Amino acid sequence: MSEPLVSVSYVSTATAPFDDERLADLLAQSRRSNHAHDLTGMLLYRRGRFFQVLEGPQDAVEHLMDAIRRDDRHSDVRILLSERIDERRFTEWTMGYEPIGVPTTAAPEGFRDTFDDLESDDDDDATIRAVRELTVWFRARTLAGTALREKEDAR
Amino acid sequence: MMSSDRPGAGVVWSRVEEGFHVGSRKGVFLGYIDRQTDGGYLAFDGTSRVVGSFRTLTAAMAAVTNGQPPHDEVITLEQVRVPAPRRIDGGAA
Repeated sequence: MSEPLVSVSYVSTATAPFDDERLADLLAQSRRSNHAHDLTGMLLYRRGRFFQVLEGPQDAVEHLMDAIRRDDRHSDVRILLSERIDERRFTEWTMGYEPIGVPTTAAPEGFRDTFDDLESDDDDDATIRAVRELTVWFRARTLAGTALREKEDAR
Repeated sequence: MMSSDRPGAGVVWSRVEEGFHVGSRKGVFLGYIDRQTDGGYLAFDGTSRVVGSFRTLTAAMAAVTNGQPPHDEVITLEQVRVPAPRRIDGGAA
């Protein structure tokens, strides 16, 4: 019987700012490693903070989380959600990445802010909901980008 | 006091990024809205299928909440291959 699949979502602080080149290096390194260890997931970088989802065999995910905690590029590593999964949500990505913008206007009245909820200290439901919202956002952005590239290629 | 059986009751709306909004109710993902470059709003249901294109955010919210667009709005049918995220197990660690 195969090892159970798990998904871990965490946030951390970059110990030094990441420009495009450093991010590209980080992604290339993590994609090589993840491919070798049957890991998939997504990464966001925003305002000096990382949000990452890792999924795969339990031992491989735990091993990588241990390495991330020791990685001097990360500090304040905090696991937000750890769960068993029946199937992967990021099958296509050894480490998916999409740039995310920081809003310059206030959210519409009555709307919550996903990033405020993500690290809510006293509301686990809000944190879990925020993780889901970021997953939805990532998939939507990735597919929109793919559709655009296919459209341009067809011209 | 809002009646709990109204379509919009209990729906939590969040902004992930400028122009990108996600709706859920009691932890269940209802759909999302993505503002387009022309200023319109494209609404998607809980399976990430396009529900319709709307001129206002509130109309798009109603479409996501009700699961169908108002009759006077333009409907764009398009299948998008995005499985809805779902909570399977566990809470916050």
